[in-house]
Amino acid sequence: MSEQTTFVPAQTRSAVWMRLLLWAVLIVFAIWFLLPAYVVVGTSLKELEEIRGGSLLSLPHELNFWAWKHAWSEACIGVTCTGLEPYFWNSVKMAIPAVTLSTLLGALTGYALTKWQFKGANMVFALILFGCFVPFQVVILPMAQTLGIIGITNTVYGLILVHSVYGLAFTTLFFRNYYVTIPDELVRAATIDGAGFFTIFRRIILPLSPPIIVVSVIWQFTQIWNDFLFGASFTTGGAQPIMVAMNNLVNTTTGVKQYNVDMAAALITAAPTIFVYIVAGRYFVRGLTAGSVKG
Amino acid sequence: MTRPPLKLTDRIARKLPQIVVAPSFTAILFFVYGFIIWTGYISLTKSKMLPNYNLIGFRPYERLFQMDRWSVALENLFVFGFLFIFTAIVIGCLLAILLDQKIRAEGFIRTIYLYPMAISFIITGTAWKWIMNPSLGLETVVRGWGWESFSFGWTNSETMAVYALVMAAVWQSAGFVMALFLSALRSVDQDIIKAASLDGASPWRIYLRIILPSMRPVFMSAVVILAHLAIKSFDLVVALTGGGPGYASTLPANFMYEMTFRRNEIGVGAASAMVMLATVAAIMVPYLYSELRGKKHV
Amino acid sequence: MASLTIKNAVKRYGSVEVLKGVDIDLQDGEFLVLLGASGCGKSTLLNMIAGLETVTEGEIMIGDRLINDVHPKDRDIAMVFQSYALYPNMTVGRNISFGLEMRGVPKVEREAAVLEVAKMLQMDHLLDRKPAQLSGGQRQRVAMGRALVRRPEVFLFDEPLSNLDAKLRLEMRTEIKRLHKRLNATMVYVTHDQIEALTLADRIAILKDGEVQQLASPAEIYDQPVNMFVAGLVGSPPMNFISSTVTRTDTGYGAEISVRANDGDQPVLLDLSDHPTDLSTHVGRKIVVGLRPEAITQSGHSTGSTTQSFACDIDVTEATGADTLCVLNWNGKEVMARVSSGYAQIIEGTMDFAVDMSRASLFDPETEMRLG
Repeated sequence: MSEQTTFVPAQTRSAVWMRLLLWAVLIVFAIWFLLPAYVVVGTSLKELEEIRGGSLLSLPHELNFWAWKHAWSEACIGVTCTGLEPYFWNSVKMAIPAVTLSTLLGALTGYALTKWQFKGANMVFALILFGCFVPFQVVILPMAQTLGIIGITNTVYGLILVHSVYGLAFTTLFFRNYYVTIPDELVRAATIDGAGFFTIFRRIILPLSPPIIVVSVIWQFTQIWNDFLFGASFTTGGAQPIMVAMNNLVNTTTGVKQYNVDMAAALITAAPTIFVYIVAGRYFVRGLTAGSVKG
Repeated sequence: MTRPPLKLTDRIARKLPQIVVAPSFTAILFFVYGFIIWTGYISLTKSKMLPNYNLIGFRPYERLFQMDRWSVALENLFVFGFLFIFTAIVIGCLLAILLDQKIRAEGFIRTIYLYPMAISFIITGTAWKWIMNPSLGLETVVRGWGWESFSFGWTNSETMAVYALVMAAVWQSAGFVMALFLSALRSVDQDIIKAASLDGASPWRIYLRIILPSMRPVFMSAVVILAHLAIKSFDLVVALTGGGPGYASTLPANFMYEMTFRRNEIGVGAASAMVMLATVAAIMVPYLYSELRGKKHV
Repeated sequence: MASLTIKNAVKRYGSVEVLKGVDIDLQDGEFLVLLGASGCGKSTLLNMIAGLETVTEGEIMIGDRLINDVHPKDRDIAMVFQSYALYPNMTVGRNISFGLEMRGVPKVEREAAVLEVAKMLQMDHLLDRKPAQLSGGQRQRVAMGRALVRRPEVFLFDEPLSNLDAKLRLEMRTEIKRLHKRLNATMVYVTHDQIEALTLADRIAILKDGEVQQLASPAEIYDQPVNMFVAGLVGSPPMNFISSTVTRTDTGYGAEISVRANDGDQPVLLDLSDHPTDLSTHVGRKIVVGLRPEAITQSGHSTGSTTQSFACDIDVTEATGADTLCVLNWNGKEVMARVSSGYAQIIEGTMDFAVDMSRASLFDPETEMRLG
């Protein structure tokens, strides 16, 4: 931003106060945003005694990773005491194919809709776009029925199908908005050079797509990993994805409430998406804004 | 001289774009629009535990609106939606303006503000539920500091549970709104700002009179996206309050789930889903229409 | 090499008619420029020749082969685009050879052909670069190379110079002209720049609202525009249009105008006697006299056969270096005159101007069409 938009020119006394106030507000909000992270990590490292006796905000006396290990491999979810590990792999097995499938289809659809404008392409896009905003409650019931008819209820395949289909609207939107910015003349030149639909996609469009592929993969992975509604609606017991299992773990009421294990479980469950955020935050933000703003 | 007939391969090649779009489009048609019709149909039947395809008209809707649980859910949605959107926008906008003042550690602070967006509502709910734990949470800590009347056990209070939802939802989304506004602030035409300050406008005045009004589209986008989030809110309620105490903090999405999967009231569940869809459509369709329209003229 | 024939080509998008029956016959090796403002249909026509747009009605032939339904890759054409449309992910070499690769030309031949073209365009040292590493002029050359390498029957150019700065544009213009001479290939070139059109073309087709207004050599277009649209489009500054009425004079016909001179309006009779058209039926009717700025020049300089001189007040002068433009006031409207640059300093106030009426074009103000 230019000089003119800062609140005050430097030097003056009030400017210093303004600057201090500004920083104070920023820091208060930073504390507010970080508080849950601090509490979750701190609690997960404490022993139960320490949690009951001490303060929520105190630092753990020592780094104790028992709760993490317990949450991963031993904690009881309902009546089965396997920890989160099998559910973690359920989520991985669900997320990888669903992300791949929806990204690939989204790329092809976006390409066909922008670079090969056929009659009705805009109508098709508008209909797909609205799919981004349909509240999923309205499709749950028929979906449960359909999965039953196909015979993939309570399997990872069922969730792969669900997430691929409902992710498709978003990935199509991403790729469509990205491909709109690639000049049509490239496709025309390649057509005259003798390349066809798929050759142009493979040789010219795809090599230009890595940024939007990253955006799409990150978005889809986060959405699928963090999904609770579909997981809870279409799976039970051992087939559940980690988000559902984690919630059940926390709400399992048998025995003593182990807050440290709950928090460790939350941490483990959140770890993959946080990792993605830290590694590729830039693309993460782009997905959020691109996915939600532009039509 | 005769016209050479079009080669078959060329004819297929010409249709390739449509052929490629077809699977995705068919999937969306079936799994979105087909399912909407399906649910719409179910919402007009006496379906209980299993779908029943005998139409009984709008009776499920009548029943729906007679249920206290649904009224509470709607009322909660109204309160939650309004406060959530308003607060998230105010905080997001404030943070964006503050971060726009050439802050040294801007990138770092932005990372802190935005990380909740990477986390699921289930985790957010679980974490805040723990912080709001009446005996071991923040309440005890603050009372220990001497503020004896401090109360933060919102999740267990019938009146406060909805505000607990608002707080957690704002915590999760404010950073996103900030990112939205920040990128919009950065794209404001610098020449206009220069011209205004040459005219003698103070920085505050420039913000209020020039920059913020020019961001009206972004405000619109933010409101629409947040409203959409609010209507779909389900996981946060499950993890933070469980809809309780009782059903004091239940939202329509939770109502629908409860009716469909726990109470064997599929018909009523479907009716509630249709009401949710209508609400979303009432917000989204005009918005998308104007967005797509506007694009064409540019 | 081949001729190009366009017969009654029509293009409709729904109910909107973009091209309304265009007929153009192009000899083998001819350079045709399609000139017009944006939206006149010139690019659509080019795309139809290329096969990037379908032909709604009519026929397009290369040689004696009807190509309406032939895929672009089988039409034996090459095209240079305004944005160059270089494939950003490929090196210059790959960009040039891509078309050959798609046609299954063996690698060794491809490389030889690329090298030959690169040498011809003096860019053999750039072959391993990516387009992003090139300057605008270099990109333009690559785009030309990509078209040249396939040795097509017809070259198509879609405003290829409009993204270059003024100096480069001039250079590349000459380069294209040289290339045309050397290859003696059939070329169709779309532009909105009338100077490009005048310098490059063997023939120019001027389009407006999907119709060809005039298809003729540059000289004919310049000297004998068929209507006021063409007259106004070609030439810079454009032709002056002076409204008047035809009157009979002792020697033939004339058109009276009022000229601002010595701070007053003086009546002047423009002599139309030499005009080839029989004006007897026009006596007393409105007419538009079209005079190019160079037909109005300093007195004693004009060499035309029907020159008349009279004094005019100079409103403003604009020196362009080679010559100087003077803004005069005839009939209360601005009229441009072109004088030698030597007069740039001295002309102030009133001066005698010579008008070469043999170079005047006459138009009917109703139909805007040329008389004779």
